[in-house]
Amino acid sequence: MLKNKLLIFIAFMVILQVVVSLVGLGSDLNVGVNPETGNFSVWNTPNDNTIQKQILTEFQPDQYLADNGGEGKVLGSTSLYNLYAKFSSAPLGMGKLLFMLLVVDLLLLIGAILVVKTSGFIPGKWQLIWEGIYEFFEDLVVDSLGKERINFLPYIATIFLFILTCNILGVIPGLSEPTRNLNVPLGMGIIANVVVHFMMIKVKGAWGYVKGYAEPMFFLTPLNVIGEASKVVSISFRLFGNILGGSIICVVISNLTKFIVFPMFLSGFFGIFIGIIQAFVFTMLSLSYLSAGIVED
Amino acid sequence: MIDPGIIKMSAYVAAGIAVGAASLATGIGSGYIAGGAVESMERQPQINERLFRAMLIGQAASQTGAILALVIGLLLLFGGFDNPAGGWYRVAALMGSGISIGLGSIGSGYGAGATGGQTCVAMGRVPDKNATLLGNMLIGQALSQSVTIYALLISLMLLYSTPLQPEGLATGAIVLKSVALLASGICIGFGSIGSGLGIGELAGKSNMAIAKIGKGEMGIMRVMFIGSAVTQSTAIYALIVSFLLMFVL
Repeated sequence: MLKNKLLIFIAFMVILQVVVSLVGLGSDLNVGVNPETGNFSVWNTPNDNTIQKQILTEFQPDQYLADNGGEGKVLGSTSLYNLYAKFSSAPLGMGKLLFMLLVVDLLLLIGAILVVKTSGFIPGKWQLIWEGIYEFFEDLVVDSLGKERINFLPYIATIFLFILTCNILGVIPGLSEPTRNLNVPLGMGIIANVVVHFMMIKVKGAWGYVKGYAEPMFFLTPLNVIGEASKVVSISFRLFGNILGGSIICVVISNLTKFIVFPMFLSGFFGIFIGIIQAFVFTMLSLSYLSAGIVED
Repeated sequence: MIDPGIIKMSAYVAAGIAVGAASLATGIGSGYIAGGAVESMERQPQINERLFRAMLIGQAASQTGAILALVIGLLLLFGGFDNPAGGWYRVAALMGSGISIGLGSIGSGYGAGATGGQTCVAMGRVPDKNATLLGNMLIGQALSQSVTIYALLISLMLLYSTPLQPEGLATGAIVLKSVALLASGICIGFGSIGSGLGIGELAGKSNMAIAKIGKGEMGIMRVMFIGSAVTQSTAIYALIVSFLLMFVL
Protein backbone atom coordinates (compact mmCIF):
# COMPACT_ATOMS: atom_id res chain seq x y z
CA MET A 1 0.00 0.00 0.00
CA LEU A 2 2.81 2.35 0.96
CA LYS A 3 4.69 1.30 -2.16
CA ASN A 4 1.72 2.29 -4.34
CA LYS A 5 1.48 5.69 -2.73
CA LEU A 6 5.20 6.22 -3.20
CA LEU A 7 4.93 5.25 -6.87
CA ILE A 8 2.02 7.63 -7.40
CA PHE A 9 3.95 10.41 -5.71
CA ILE A 10 7.06 9.82 -7.83
CA ALA A 11 4.98 9.70 -11.03
CA PHE A 12 3.32 12.94 -10.00
CA MET A 13 6.67 14.62 -9.40
CA VAL A 14 7.96 13.44 -12.80
CA ILE A 15 4.84 14.75 -14.56
CA LEU A 16 5.23 18.00 -12.67
CA GLN A 17 8.83 18.42 -13.75
CA VAL A 18 7.89 17.64 -17.36
CA VAL A 19 5.09 20.20 -17.28
CA VAL A 20 7.31 22.82 -15.67
CA SER A 21 10.11 22.28 -18.17
CA LEU A 22 7.63 22.31 -21.07
CA VAL A 23 5.89 25.44 -19.93
CA GLY A 24 8.83 27.33 -18.51
CA LEU A 25 8.59 29.46 -15.42
CA GLY A 26 8.43 32.84 -17.11
CA SER A 27 5.92 31.99 -19.82
CA ASP A 28 2.31 30.96 -20.37
CA LEU A 29 1.06 27.89 -22.19
CA ASN A 30 -1.46 28.72 -24.93
CA VAL A 31 -3.67 26.22 -26.77
CA GLY A 32 -5.56 27.23 -29.88
CA VAL A 33 -5.04 28.85 -33.27
CA ASN A 34 -1.64 30.50 -33.25
CA PRO A 35 -2.09 34.08 -34.55
CA GLU A 36 1.42 34.09 -36.08
CA THR A 37 1.38 30.86 -38.07
CA GLY A 38 -2.39 30.39 -38.44
CA ASN A 39 -2.24 26.73 -37.40
CA PHE A 40 -3.86 24.98 -34.47
CA SER A 41 -1.04 24.38 -32.06
CA VAL A 42 0.35 24.61 -28.55
CA TRP A 43 2.80 27.46 -27.97
CA ASN A 44 4.39 29.52 -25.24
CA THR A 45 4.23 33.25 -24.77
CA PRO A 46 6.48 35.07 -22.33
CA ASN A 47 4.61 36.69 -19.47
CA ASP A 48 5.42 39.63 -17.25
CA ASN A 49 3.08 38.70 -14.41
CA THR A 50 3.70 40.59 -11.23
CA ILE A 51 1.70 39.81 -8.10
CA GLN A 52 -0.15 43.12 -8.34
CA LYS A 53 -1.22 42.40 -11.91
CA GLN A 54 -2.26 38.88 -10.98
CA ILE A 55 -4.42 40.10 -8.10
CA LEU A 56 -5.98 42.77 -10.31
CA THR A 57 -6.82 40.41 -13.19
CA GLU A 58 -8.09 37.76 -10.81
CA PHE A 59 -10.29 39.88 -8.57
CA GLN A 60 -11.05 43.10 -10.49
CA PRO A 61 -10.93 42.18 -14.19
CA ASP A 62 -13.01 45.19 -15.23
CA GLN A 63 -10.67 47.57 -13.41
CA TYR A 64 -7.75 45.90 -15.16
CA LEU A 65 -9.37 46.28 -18.58
CA ALA A 66 -10.19 49.92 -17.88
CA ASP A 67 -6.56 50.58 -16.92
CA ASN A 68 -5.33 48.97 -20.13
CA GLY A 69 -7.93 50.56 -22.41
CA GLY A 70 -9.95 47.42 -23.12
CA GLU A 71 -6.95 45.33 -24.13
CA GLY A 72 -5.28 42.54 -22.26
CA LYS A 73 -5.22 39.00 -21.06
CA VAL A 74 -8.02 38.18 -18.66
CA LEU A 75 -10.04 35.04 -18.01
CA GLY A 76 -6.71 33.25 -18.41
CA SER A 77 -6.16 34.02 -22.06
CA THR A 78 -6.67 36.64 -24.75
CA SER A 79 -8.64 34.42 -27.10
CA LEU A 80 -11.14 33.49 -24.37
CA TYR A 81 -11.64 37.16 -23.61
CA ASN A 82 -12.20 37.95 -27.28
CA LEU A 83 -14.77 35.17 -27.42
CA TYR A 84 -16.54 36.63 -24.39
CA ALA A 85 -16.47 40.18 -25.79
CA LYS A 86 -18.05 38.90 -29.01
CA PHE A 87 -21.15 37.62 -27.23
CA SER A 88 -21.69 40.07 -24.42
CA SER A 89 -21.04 43.66 -23.46
CA ALA A 90 -21.75 43.08 -19.76
CA PRO A 91 -18.92 43.66 -17.24
CA LEU A 92 -16.45 40.82 -17.26
CA GLY A 93 -16.69 40.14 -13.51
CA MET A 94 -20.42 39.61 -13.81
CA GLY A 95 -20.06 37.30 -16.80
CA LYS A 96 -17.52 35.23 -14.88
CA LEU A 97 -19.79 35.09 -11.83
CA LEU A 98 -22.80 33.98 -13.87
CA PHE A 99 -20.73 31.33 -15.63
CA MET A 100 -19.51 29.94 -12.31
CA LEU A 101 -23.05 29.94 -10.91
CA LEU A 102 -24.17 27.97 -13.96
CA VAL A 103 -21.39 25.46 -13.30
CA VAL A 104 -22.58 25.12 -9.71
CA ASP A 105 -26.17 24.61 -10.86
CA LEU A 106 -25.05 22.00 -13.35
CA LEU A 107 -23.07 20.13 -10.68
CA LEU A 108 -26.04 20.15 -8.30
CA LEU A 109 -28.33 18.96 -11.10
CA ILE A 110 -25.96 16.11 -11.94
CA GLY A 111 -25.87 15.25 -8.25
CA ALA A 112 -29.66 15.19 -8.08
CA ILE A 113 -29.88 12.91 -11.14
CA LEU A 114 -27.21 10.64 -9.64
CA VAL A 115 -29.22 10.35 -6.43
CA VAL A 116 -32.30 9.23 -8.36
CA LYS A 117 -30.37 6.84 -10.60
CA THR A 118 -28.39 5.13 -7.86
CA SER A 119 -31.24 4.74 -5.37
CA GLY A 120 -33.45 1.72 -5.24
CA PHE A 121 -35.23 -0.75 -3.00
CA ILE A 122 -31.95 -2.51 -2.17
CA PRO A 123 -29.55 0.19 -0.94
CA GLY A 124 -26.13 0.27 -2.56
CA LYS A 125 -22.92 1.99 -1.60
CA TRP A 126 -23.97 5.38 -2.99
CA GLN A 127 -27.41 5.31 -1.45
CA LEU A 128 -25.83 4.93 1.98
CA ILE A 129 -23.90 8.17 1.41
CA TRP A 130 -27.00 10.10 0.25
CA GLU A 131 -29.05 8.77 3.14
CA GLY A 132 -26.28 9.64 5.58
CA ILE A 133 -26.28 13.25 4.35
CA TYR A 134 -30.09 13.39 4.52
CA GLU A 135 -30.21 11.98 8.05
CA PHE A 136 -27.55 14.40 9.23
CA PHE A 137 -29.68 17.37 8.18
CA GLU A 138 -32.85 15.72 9.44
CA ASP A 139 -31.31 15.39 12.91
CA LEU A 140 -30.07 18.97 12.75
CA VAL A 141 -33.49 20.41 11.86
CA VAL A 142 -35.43 18.20 14.30
CA ASP A 143 -33.02 19.05 17.13
CA SER A 144 -33.29 22.80 16.72
CA LEU A 145 -36.77 23.39 15.29
CA GLY A 146 -38.73 20.41 16.57
CA LYS A 147 -40.44 17.51 14.82
CA GLU A 148 -43.41 19.53 13.55
CA ARG A 149 -41.22 21.89 11.51
CA ILE A 150 -39.46 19.20 9.49
CA ASN A 151 -40.62 21.02 6.33
CA PHE A 152 -37.66 23.39 6.74
CA LEU A 153 -35.31 20.53 5.86
CA PRO A 154 -35.18 21.18 2.07
CA TYR A 155 -34.39 24.86 2.63
CA ILE A 156 -31.57 24.18 5.12
CA ALA A 157 -30.08 21.38 3.02
CA THR A 158 -30.23 23.53 -0.11
CA ILE A 159 -28.34 26.38 1.58
CA PHE A 160 -25.63 23.98 2.73
CA LEU A 161 -25.22 22.10 -0.55
CA PHE A 162 -25.22 25.28 -2.65
CA ILE A 163 -22.62 27.09 -0.53
CA LEU A 164 -20.51 23.94 -0.20
CA THR A 165 -20.44 23.43 -3.97
CA CYS A 166 -19.60 27.11 -4.47
CA ASN A 167 -16.72 26.99 -1.97
CA ILE A 168 -15.18 23.76 -3.25
CA LEU A 169 -15.34 24.87 -6.91
CA GLY A 170 -12.19 26.98 -6.47
CA VAL A 171 -10.08 23.84 -6.01
CA ILE A 172 -10.46 23.03 -9.73
CA PRO A 173 -7.95 25.09 -11.73
CA GLY A 174 -9.54 27.63 -14.02
CA LEU A 175 -12.77 27.86 -12.03
CA SER A 176 -13.39 30.36 -9.26
CA GLU A 177 -15.70 30.34 -6.27
CA PRO A 178 -18.91 32.32 -6.87
CA THR A 179 -18.93 33.08 -3.12
CA ARG A 180 -15.84 35.26 -3.47
CA ASN A 181 -18.06 37.82 -5.22
CA LEU A 182 -19.90 39.80 -2.54
CA ASN A 183 -23.21 39.59 -4.43
CA VAL A 184 -23.66 35.88 -3.74
CA PRO A 185 -23.02 35.84 0.06
CA LEU A 186 -25.02 39.04 0.50
CA GLY A 187 -27.93 37.52 -1.41
CA MET A 188 -27.76 34.36 0.69
CA GLY A 189 -27.58 36.39 3.90
CA ILE A 190 -30.61 38.46 2.91
CA ILE A 191 -32.55 35.30 2.04
CA ALA A 192 -31.69 33.70 5.40
CA ASN A 193 -32.76 36.80 7.36
CA VAL A 194 -35.94 37.42 5.35
CA VAL A 195 -37.03 33.84 6.04
CA VAL A 196 -36.42 34.38 9.78
CA HIS A 197 -38.48 37.60 9.91
CA PHE A 198 -41.28 36.17 7.77
CA MET A 199 -41.57 33.14 10.04
CA MET A 200 -41.43 35.33 13.15
CA ILE A 201 -44.38 37.40 11.89
CA LYS A 202 -46.25 34.23 10.93
CA VAL A 203 -45.71 32.53 14.30
CA LYS A 204 -45.95 35.46 16.73
CA GLY A 205 -48.36 37.67 14.78
CA ALA A 206 -47.60 41.22 13.64
CA TRP A 207 -48.02 42.81 17.09
CA GLY A 208 -45.96 40.16 18.83
CA TYR A 209 -43.22 40.65 16.26
CA VAL A 210 -43.10 44.43 16.80
CA LYS A 211 -43.22 43.96 20.58
CA GLY A 212 -40.25 41.61 20.34
CA TYR A 213 -38.06 44.59 19.51
CA ALA A 214 -38.79 46.21 22.87
CA GLU A 215 -37.45 43.29 24.87
CA PRO A 216 -36.01 42.88 27.43
CA MET A 217 -36.51 46.64 28.07
CA PHE A 218 -38.13 49.29 25.90
CA PHE A 219 -35.11 51.59 25.66
CA LEU A 220 -33.11 48.83 23.98
CA THR A 221 -35.28 49.11 20.83
CA PRO A 222 -32.76 50.99 18.63
CA LEU A 223 -30.08 48.52 19.68
CA ASN A 224 -32.29 45.58 18.70
CA VAL A 225 -33.05 47.11 15.31
CA ILE A 226 -29.34 47.74 14.58
CA GLY A 227 -28.53 44.24 15.84
CA GLU A 228 -31.01 42.69 13.43
CA ALA A 229 -29.56 44.70 10.54
CA SER A 230 -26.00 43.78 11.47
CA LYS A 231 -26.91 40.08 11.33
CA VAL A 232 -27.14 40.35 7.52
CA VAL A 233 -23.73 42.05 7.38
CA SER A 234 -21.96 39.63 9.70
CA ILE A 235 -23.38 36.41 8.23
CA SER A 236 -22.60 37.38 4.64
CA PHE A 237 -19.24 39.08 5.18
CA ARG A 238 -18.00 36.08 7.17
CA LEU A 239 -18.48 33.79 4.18
CA PHE A 240 -17.22 36.42 1.75
CA GLY A 241 -14.13 37.30 3.76
CA ASN A 242 -13.09 33.72 4.33
CA ILE A 243 -13.46 32.60 0.73
CA LEU A 244 -11.97 35.77 -0.79
CA GLY A 245 -9.16 35.62 1.76
CA GLY A 246 -8.37 32.03 0.90
CA SER A 247 -8.23 32.72 -2.81
CA ILE A 248 -6.07 35.85 -2.38
CA ILE A 249 -3.63 33.90 -0.21
CA CYS A 250 -3.54 31.12 -2.85
CA VAL A 251 -2.82 33.61 -5.66
CA VAL A 252 -0.05 35.39 -3.75
CA ILE A 253 1.66 32.24 -2.43
CA SER A 254 1.39 30.56 -5.85
CA ASN A 255 3.18 33.51 -7.36
CA LEU A 256 5.87 33.52 -4.71
CA THR A 257 6.57 29.79 -5.16
CA LYS A 258 6.20 29.86 -8.98
CA PHE A 259 3.21 27.47 -8.89
CA ILE A 260 5.20 24.43 -7.73
CA VAL A 261 3.62 21.81 -5.38
CA PHE A 262 2.82 24.01 -2.37
CA PRO A 263 -0.26 25.80 -3.82
CA MET A 264 -2.03 22.47 -4.22
CA PHE A 265 -2.11 21.80 -0.48
CA LEU A 266 -2.95 25.42 0.18
CA SER A 267 -5.95 25.41 -2.13
CA GLY A 268 -6.96 22.07 -0.66
CA PHE A 269 -6.90 23.59 2.82
CA PHE A 270 -8.75 26.77 1.93
CA GLY A 271 -11.07 25.25 -0.65
CA ILE A 272 -12.11 22.04 1.03
CA PHE A 273 -11.46 22.40 4.78
CA ILE A 274 -12.33 26.08 5.28
CA GLY A 275 -15.00 25.75 2.57
CA ILE A 276 -16.82 22.96 4.42
CA ILE A 277 -16.49 24.74 7.80
CA GLN A 278 -17.82 28.04 6.46
CA ALA A 279 -20.72 26.38 4.62
CA PHE A 280 -21.62 24.56 7.84
CA VAL A 281 -21.29 27.75 9.90
CA PHE A 282 -23.56 29.65 7.51
CA THR A 283 -26.16 26.87 7.64
CA MET A 284 -25.98 26.54 11.42
CA LEU A 285 -26.28 30.29 11.90
CA SER A 286 -29.35 30.58 9.68
CA LEU A 287 -30.88 27.59 11.47
CA SER A 288 -30.08 29.06 14.90
CA TYR A 289 -31.47 32.49 14.01
CA LEU A 290 -34.61 30.71 12.88
CA SER A 291 -34.92 28.61 16.02
CA ALA A 292 -34.11 31.55 18.32
CA GLY A 293 -36.84 33.52 16.53
CA ILE A 294 -39.72 31.09 16.32
CA VAL A 295 -39.35 28.19 18.76
CA GLU A 296 -41.26 28.60 22.02
CA ASP A 297 -40.30 26.75 25.16
CA MET B 1 0.76 65.26 -4.75
CA ILE B 2 3.17 63.41 -2.52
CA ASP B 3 5.97 60.94 -3.03
CA PRO B 4 4.59 57.42 -3.74
CA GLY B 5 7.29 56.14 -1.41
CA ILE B 6 5.46 57.64 1.56
CA ILE B 7 2.26 55.77 0.64
CA LYS B 8 4.21 52.53 0.27
CA MET B 9 5.93 53.12 3.60
CA SER B 10 2.57 53.52 5.28
CA ALA B 11 1.29 50.35 3.61
CA TYR B 12 4.30 48.35 4.84
CA VAL B 13 3.95 49.55 8.43
CA ALA B 14 0.22 48.81 8.31
CA ALA B 15 0.82 45.28 7.00
CA GLY B 16 3.27 44.68 9.84
CA ILE B 17 0.82 45.89 12.46
CA ALA B 18 -2.06 43.89 10.97
CA VAL B 19 -0.38 40.50 10.86
CA GLY B 20 1.66 41.01 14.03
CA ALA B 21 -1.22 42.07 16.26
CA ALA B 22 -3.55 39.44 14.86
CA SER B 23 -1.06 36.62 15.42
CA LEU B 24 -0.63 37.58 19.07
CA ALA B 25 -4.05 36.62 20.34
CA THR B 26 -4.67 33.82 17.87
CA GLY B 27 -1.60 32.03 19.17
CA ILE B 28 -2.92 32.19 22.73
CA GLY B 29 -6.37 31.04 21.63
CA SER B 30 -5.13 28.06 19.62
CA GLY B 31 -3.00 26.96 22.55
CA TYR B 32 -6.01 27.22 24.84
CA ILE B 33 -7.96 24.83 22.60
CA ALA B 34 -5.08 22.35 22.59
CA GLY B 35 -4.90 22.59 26.39
CA GLY B 36 -8.61 21.84 26.72
CA ALA B 37 -8.28 18.88 24.38
CA VAL B 38 -5.38 17.46 26.38
CA GLU B 39 -7.34 17.77 29.63
CA SER B 40 -10.28 15.92 28.08
CA MET B 41 -8.09 13.23 26.57
CA GLU B 42 -6.78 12.44 30.01
CA ARG B 43 -10.32 12.19 31.35
CA GLN B 44 -11.73 10.13 28.46
CA PRO B 45 -8.96 8.23 26.67
CA GLN B 46 -11.45 6.26 24.56
CA ILE B 47 -12.62 9.27 22.54
CA ASN B 48 -9.11 10.51 21.77
CA GLU B 49 -9.64 10.56 18.01
CA ARG B 50 -12.85 12.55 18.19
CA LEU B 51 -11.22 15.06 20.53
CA PHE B 52 -8.23 15.40 18.25
CA ARG B 53 -10.52 16.13 15.29
CA ALA B 54 -12.52 18.62 17.33
CA MET B 55 -9.28 20.32 18.39
CA LEU B 56 -8.13 20.71 14.78
CA ILE B 57 -11.50 22.05 13.61
CA GLY B 58 -11.65 24.46 16.53
CA GLN B 59 -8.14 25.75 15.91
CA ALA B 60 -8.82 26.24 12.21
CA ALA B 61 -12.01 28.14 12.96
CA SER B 62 -10.35 30.26 15.64
CA GLN B 63 -7.67 31.33 13.17
CA THR B 64 -10.20 32.96 10.86
CA GLY B 65 -9.41 36.41 12.25
CA ALA B 66 -5.68 35.95 11.69
CA ILE B 67 -6.31 34.74 8.15
CA LEU B 68 -8.38 37.84 7.41
CA ALA B 69 -5.57 39.99 8.81
CA LEU B 70 -3.09 38.09 6.64
CA VAL B 71 -5.24 38.87 3.60
CA ILE B 72 -5.31 42.58 4.37
CA GLY B 73 -1.55 42.42 4.99
CA LEU B 74 -0.94 40.75 1.62
CA LEU B 75 -3.20 43.27 -0.12
CA LEU B 76 -1.29 46.12 1.54
CA LEU B 77 2.03 44.63 0.42
CA PHE B 78 1.13 43.55 -3.11
CA GLY B 79 -2.15 45.30 -3.91
CA GLY B 80 -0.49 48.11 -5.82
CA PHE B 81 -1.17 51.01 -3.46
CA ASP B 82 1.36 53.51 -4.77
CA ASN B 83 -0.88 55.89 -6.69
CA PRO B 84 0.26 59.35 -5.55
CA ALA B 85 -3.15 60.87 -6.43
CA GLY B 86 -4.54 59.69 -3.11
CA GLY B 87 -2.32 62.06 -1.17
CA TRP B 88 -2.17 62.11 2.61
CA TYR B 89 -5.73 60.76 2.79
CA ARG B 90 -4.46 57.55 1.25
CA VAL B 91 -1.48 57.38 3.64
CA ALA B 92 -3.78 57.65 6.66
CA ALA B 93 -6.36 55.26 5.23
CA LEU B 94 -3.81 52.51 4.57
CA MET B 95 -2.41 52.87 8.09
CA GLY B 96 -5.94 52.84 9.53
CA SER B 97 -6.93 49.71 7.64
CA GLY B 98 -3.94 47.78 8.97
CA ILE B 99 -4.58 48.93 12.54
CA SER B 100 -8.29 48.13 12.24
CA ILE B 101 -7.97 44.49 11.21
CA GLY B 102 -4.91 43.93 13.40
CA LEU B 103 -6.54 45.09 16.62
CA GLY B 104 -9.90 43.69 15.54
CA SER B 105 -8.53 40.16 15.33
CA ILE B 106 -7.21 40.19 18.91
CA GLY B 107 -10.58 39.78 20.59
CA SER B 108 -11.93 37.05 18.36
CA GLY B 109 -8.59 35.23 18.32
CA TYR B 110 -8.62 34.79 22.08
CA GLY B 111 -12.42 34.55 22.34
CA ALA B 112 -12.79 31.78 19.78
CA GLY B 113 -9.93 30.00 21.52
CA ALA B 114 -11.74 30.20 24.85
CA THR B 115 -14.89 28.78 23.24
CA GLY B 116 -12.96 25.92 21.69
CA GLY B 117 -11.01 25.14 24.85
CA GLN B 118 -14.07 25.02 27.09
CA THR B 119 -15.93 22.96 24.48
CA CYS B 120 -13.12 20.40 24.43
CA VAL B 121 -13.35 20.16 28.23
CA ALA B 122 -17.13 19.81 27.96
CA MET B 123 -16.75 17.03 25.40
CA GLY B 124 -14.66 15.10 27.89
CA ARG B 125 -17.51 15.37 30.42
CA VAL B 126 -20.32 14.15 28.15
CA PRO B 127 -18.96 12.04 25.29
CA ASP B 128 -22.44 11.20 23.93
CA LYS B 129 -23.24 14.84 23.15
CA ASN B 130 -20.13 15.53 21.11
CA ALA B 131 -21.88 16.38 17.83
CA THR B 132 -24.16 18.95 19.48
CA LEU B 133 -21.26 20.51 21.34
CA LEU B 134 -19.16 20.72 18.17
CA GLY B 135 -21.99 22.51 16.34
CA ASN B 136 -22.45 24.89 19.27
CA MET B 137 -18.71 25.56 19.33
CA LEU B 138 -18.71 26.56 15.66
CA ILE B 139 -21.71 28.83 16.23
CA GLY B 140 -20.06 30.46 19.24
CA GLN B 141 -16.81 31.02 17.38
CA ALA B 142 -18.68 32.49 14.44
CA LEU B 143 -20.56 34.85 16.77
CA SER B 144 -17.35 36.00 18.42
CA GLN B 145 -15.83 36.58 14.99
CA SER B 146 -18.64 38.80 13.77
CA VAL B 147 -16.91 41.80 15.39
CA THR B 148 -13.76 40.93 13.42
CA ILE B 149 -15.94 40.95 10.33
CA TYR B 150 -16.91 44.55 11.16
CA ALA B 151 -13.20 45.40 11.39
CA LEU B 152 -12.64 43.68 8.04
CA LEU B 153 -15.47 45.73 6.54
CA ILE B 154 -13.89 48.98 7.74
CA SER B 155 -10.47 47.81 6.51
CA LEU B 156 -11.76 47.04 3.03
CA MET B 157 -13.63 50.35 2.88
CA LEU B 158 -10.50 52.23 3.95
CA LEU B 159 -8.52 50.41 1.27
CA TYR B 160 -10.92 50.81 -1.61
CA SER B 161 -13.46 53.56 -1.02
CA THR B 162 -11.71 56.51 0.62
CA PRO B 163 -12.06 59.86 -1.13
CA LEU B 164 -9.11 61.25 -3.09
CA GLN B 165 -7.48 64.33 -1.63
CA PRO B 166 -8.77 67.43 -3.49
CA GLU B 167 -6.27 69.86 -5.00
CA GLY B 168 -5.49 73.13 -3.27
CA LEU B 169 -6.79 72.26 0.19
CA ALA B 170 -5.50 74.03 3.29
CA THR B 171 -3.02 72.03 5.37
CA GLY B 172 -5.30 72.06 8.41
CA ALA B 173 -8.19 70.50 6.49
CA ILE B 174 -5.93 67.79 5.07
CA VAL B 175 -4.57 66.93 8.53
CA LEU B 176 -8.08 66.85 10.00
CA LYS B 177 -9.52 64.47 7.42
CA SER B 178 -6.42 62.26 7.47
CA VAL B 179 -6.63 61.94 11.23
CA ALA B 180 -10.34 61.12 10.94
CA LEU B 181 -9.57 58.28 8.51
CA LEU B 182 -6.84 56.93 10.81
CA ALA B 183 -9.13 57.26 13.83
CA SER B 184 -11.91 55.28 12.17
CA GLY B 185 -9.55 52.31 11.91
CA ILE B 186 -8.39 52.72 15.51
CA CYS B 187 -12.00 53.04 16.73
CA ILE B 188 -13.31 49.76 15.32
CA GLY B 189 -10.04 48.03 16.17
CA PHE B 190 -10.21 48.80 19.88
CA GLY B 191 -14.00 48.56 19.96
CA SER B 192 -14.05 44.98 18.79
CA ILE B 193 -11.47 43.59 21.25
CA GLY B 194 -13.79 43.44 24.24
CA SER B 195 -16.80 42.12 22.38
CA GLY B 196 -14.80 39.34 20.75
CA LEU B 197 -13.37 38.25 24.11
CA GLY B 198 -16.73 38.48 25.84
CA ILE B 199 -18.73 36.55 23.27
CA GLY B 200 -16.06 33.85 23.13
CA GLU B 201 -16.17 33.40 26.91
CA LEU B 202 -19.98 33.42 26.81
CA ALA B 203 -20.15 30.69 24.18
CA GLY B 204 -17.59 28.57 26.04
CA LYS B 205 -19.50 28.95 29.33
CA SER B 206 -22.80 28.01 27.69
CA ASN B 207 -21.24 24.86 26.25
CA MET B 208 -19.93 24.00 29.72
CA ALA B 209 -23.43 24.60 31.07
CA ILE B 210 -24.92 22.22 28.50
CA ALA B 211 -22.37 19.60 29.54
CA LYS B 212 -22.93 20.07 33.29
CA ILE B 213 -26.72 20.37 33.37
CA GLY B 214 -27.59 17.98 30.56
CA LYS B 215 -31.01 19.42 29.64
CA GLY B 216 -32.59 22.64 28.44
CA GLU B 217 -30.14 23.09 25.57
CA MET B 218 -32.51 25.27 23.59
CA GLY B 219 -32.97 27.65 26.51
CA ILE B 220 -29.23 27.94 27.07
CA MET B 221 -28.63 28.59 23.39
CA ARG B 222 -31.32 31.27 23.27
CA VAL B 223 -29.86 33.07 26.28
CA MET B 224 -26.46 32.81 24.58
CA PHE B 225 -27.83 34.45 21.44
CA ILE B 226 -29.43 37.33 23.34
CA GLY B 227 -26.35 37.74 25.51
CA SER B 228 -24.04 37.87 22.54
CA ALA B 229 -26.31 40.40 20.80
CA VAL B 230 -26.11 42.69 23.84
CA THR B 231 -22.36 42.12 24.20
CA GLN B 232 -21.94 43.02 20.55
CA SER B 233 -23.64 46.37 21.01
CA THR B 234 -20.43 48.17 22.06
CA ALA B 235 -18.74 46.95 18.87
CA ILE B 236 -21.72 48.23 16.90
CA TYR B 237 -21.28 51.65 18.54
CA ALA B 238 -17.65 51.58 17.42
CA LEU B 239 -18.75 50.62 13.91
CA ILE B 240 -21.17 53.55 13.75
CA VAL B 241 -18.52 56.00 14.99
CA SER B 242 -16.09 54.59 12.42
CA PHE B 243 -18.56 55.21 9.62
CA LEU B 244 -19.16 58.74 10.91
CA LEU B 245 -15.43 59.43 11.00
CA MET B 246 -14.96 58.04 7.52
CA PHE B 247 -17.81 59.61 5.62
CA VAL B 248 -19.31 62.49 7.58
CA LEU B 249 -16.45 64.37 9.22
